[in-house]
Amino acid sequence: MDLSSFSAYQLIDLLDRHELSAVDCVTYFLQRTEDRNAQWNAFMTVAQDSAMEQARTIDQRRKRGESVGRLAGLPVAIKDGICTAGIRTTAGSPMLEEFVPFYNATAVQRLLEADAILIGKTMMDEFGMGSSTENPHFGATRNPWDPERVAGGSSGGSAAAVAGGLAPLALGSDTGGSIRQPAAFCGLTGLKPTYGRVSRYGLIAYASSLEQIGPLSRSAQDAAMLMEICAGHDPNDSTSAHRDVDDYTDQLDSGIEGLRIGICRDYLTTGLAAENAEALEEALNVLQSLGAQLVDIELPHASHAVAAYYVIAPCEASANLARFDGVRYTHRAESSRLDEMYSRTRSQFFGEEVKRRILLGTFALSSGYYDQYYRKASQIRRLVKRDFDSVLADVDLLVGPTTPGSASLLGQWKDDPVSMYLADIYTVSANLAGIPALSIPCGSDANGLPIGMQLQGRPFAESTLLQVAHQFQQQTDFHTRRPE
Amino acid sequence: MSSERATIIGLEVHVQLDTHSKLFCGCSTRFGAPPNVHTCPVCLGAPGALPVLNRRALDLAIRVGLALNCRIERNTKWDRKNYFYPDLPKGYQISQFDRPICAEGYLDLMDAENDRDQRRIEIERAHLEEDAGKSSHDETGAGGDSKIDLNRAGTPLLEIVTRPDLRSGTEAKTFLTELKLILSNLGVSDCNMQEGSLRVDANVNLHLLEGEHPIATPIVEIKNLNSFRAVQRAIDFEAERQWKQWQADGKTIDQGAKQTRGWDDESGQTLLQRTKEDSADYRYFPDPDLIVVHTTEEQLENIREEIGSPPSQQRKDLISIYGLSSYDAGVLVQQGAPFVDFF
Amino acid sequence: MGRSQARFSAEHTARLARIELSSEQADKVQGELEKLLAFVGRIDELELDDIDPFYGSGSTEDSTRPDVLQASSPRSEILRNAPQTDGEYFLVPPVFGQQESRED
Repeated sequence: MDLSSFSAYQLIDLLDRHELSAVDCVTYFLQRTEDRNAQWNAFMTVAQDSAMEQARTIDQRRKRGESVGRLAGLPVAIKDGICTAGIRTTAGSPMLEEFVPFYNATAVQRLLEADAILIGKTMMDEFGMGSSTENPHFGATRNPWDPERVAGGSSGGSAAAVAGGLAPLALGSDTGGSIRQPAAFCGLTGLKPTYGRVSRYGLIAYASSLEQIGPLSRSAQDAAMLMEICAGHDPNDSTSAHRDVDDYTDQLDSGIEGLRIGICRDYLTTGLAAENAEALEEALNVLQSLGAQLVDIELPHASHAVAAYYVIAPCEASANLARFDGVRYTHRAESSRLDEMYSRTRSQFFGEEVKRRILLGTFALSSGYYDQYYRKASQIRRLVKRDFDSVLADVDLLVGPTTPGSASLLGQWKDDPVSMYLADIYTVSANLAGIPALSIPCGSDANGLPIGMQLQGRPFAESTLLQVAHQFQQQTDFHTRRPE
Repeated sequence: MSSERATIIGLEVHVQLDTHSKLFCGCSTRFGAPPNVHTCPVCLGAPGALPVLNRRALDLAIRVGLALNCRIERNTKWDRKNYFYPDLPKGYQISQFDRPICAEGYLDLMDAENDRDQRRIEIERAHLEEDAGKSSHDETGAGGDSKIDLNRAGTPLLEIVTRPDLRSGTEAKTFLTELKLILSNLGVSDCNMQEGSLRVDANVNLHLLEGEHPIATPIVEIKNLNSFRAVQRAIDFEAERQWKQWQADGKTIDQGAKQTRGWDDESGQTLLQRTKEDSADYRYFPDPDLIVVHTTEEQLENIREEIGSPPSQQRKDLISIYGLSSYDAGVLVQQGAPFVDFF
Repeated sequence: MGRSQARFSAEHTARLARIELSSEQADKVQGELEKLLAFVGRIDELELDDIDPFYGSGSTEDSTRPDVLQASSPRSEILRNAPQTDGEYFLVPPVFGQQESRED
């Protein structure tokens, strides 16, 4: 059986009906990873032994007629910035090259409680700081649709693994678009949940007030299932919301007739590649044909969101990454003097982009500059949030592009951080405002590369986004297309 | 030339709050355990670990705030104070910058000169923060490694900051004695200075009146004060030292940099530790891992009921209701709440 | 905007952030950061006087925990990833001579 094109739903169905054993399932994906990972560099670490061990246990439990979790036997790939007990977790940084946590992130713990199998840890930009997963230390991840192109970032490894059929489902994290942009580049469904919906406990922090863990999957249905497992209050994360988790999968089948969809016309005219704009227009037609109403809206402060984001994220990063000091769990550069040990360790084991952002954030918080940078950026953040609040009082969700174009060539953004930052234009606003945002494939460009469409919704209205995405996917086949 | 001088003293008192568990995790705060056994991913600053506030620590801080007549911040928030030190696991300390839990209070003391009058010492603020761990250094001079024990990292501290209202070493000692009595009666801390549950730093300078011109000498922060007696002696020593220094170099607060000096109990003097040429840049900003903590009127009322009357009121009651002498009332109250209750 | 860029010092900032830079690297970083600061300088374009900053979580829920002990982690696990220990303590080069000592 060619399991590589199966959705998580289909695989679970086979596993539940004993038509596929967990061992066979895991063996298949491990074998495929062994064959292809050298080409795509999707995985940082393949957890071969522990995955097989887990699979054997699940098969035995099934055989004995014991009850098993909802994902029993399903391999899931985990972004390497998410802590996994006993499995090396590097966050894509040389600093943590040999770091093995003894605790699981809450999202991972919930997957394990549902009997999912942790098949491996996926490549990423160092600490999530990047949009291409061209990791200078661990190598570039390639896009299975075209190995000369990037898979996107920072969750590029998770996207490449799912798009290339090395895993049916993956966890990523999204600080400014790091789930949605690789999902768009690789033809996947990728969800950044509402801030506080999924616990951040165990997510190695880049910018704590912006980021969330979320799924990269082959369908809205798979994303909905994964969210039902991972979302929900966690007493270990003070920013985690107390409210109950919706039955996302139950709501997928509801029609979208009468839903009001906001369209920001500026997004379709400024900076968006013509092919992407066309694909989006066609997708809007599909949604309209399903009975949705399109409403033109404006987001007046969206054009300042990227600048605000690139103040706030580096400020938080400068403090979040201070713990990497060569004392407790990182590499250490040798020196007989403590202050020199610190600065050499941090100079030697952080990459260029990480150092750049730490310096930017350190400066922006330093004496005399706080009001000018961090405070101002946080005020703009308020304006961005107000824009969404007022628009989403009128419409049920917003639809627009995920990225200005499809997957870029390897090396395109080398030494040009500003251009790379600007490509985040459509995604960062949702992080600033804390609202949920989803990317689904909605077309292909002339090179056959996937094009993504972004859906943004009210806080905690993941169910609406997943429902609209699912209804769209019932009408179209973009999400079932595979590379090769 | 005749001149008047006054010693101007402000105190920073760190009080370890008597909780079972640490400020942001469930590890024990018990003193004296083997190194690095009361640690977990949170207080170790492990990647991905997140803090969750111990509500009891906040309640104890509010007790102190109410006893010190402070305004209680009903929506208190948390900030990161950034600096690198090996016993500070995250590279920042979770503290409170612009919205401390307690602000603008005061403590009335009997005037040392005249026990009918009171002196009001204003409390600028009292904020919660996490303690650092402990570094021990090679004392042999051979340049051996320093050892880091993180058991203490994350222990809840209340930092109480007075305005510069104290005027002598004796008065500082009186203030601390009264404060300690209040804290003990409230049951918020064991106030054991040897174990570091109560730590005091003193900021000292002189205000001089040279003819018509008021002049201030550079401020000195005195650290390593291990007893109230040491606080008194160090302040008195420092006042004399600054007077001599002023006579020798005439440097004023605008000309001299702020110094940190350590008290050496054996030799009875303060010794220069460092001069803050450019003051440290802590880059405070709101901690995104913690949300604003709200205290309701009901919670506040419950805490108010728990704390009972302050020592000053107890003394008054003993004198007016039970006819004790002022001296006897003072001695009895000093024994602590259980004695007073018994009476 | 010009105000902010003129004052950035790679050397000073790198010292605050504990990142060693050679003088060549410092020159390069100086140029890169000036560009980035010009880029983020767009935040100066808006009138923001009466706008309340938003720091990310608007939550007003009680996120505190009771004062209950939870098991600490085994010391062997705590020390396992450390570059240097003696089995009980983390070891670091001597703290003496440290430029900025602890402040609290």
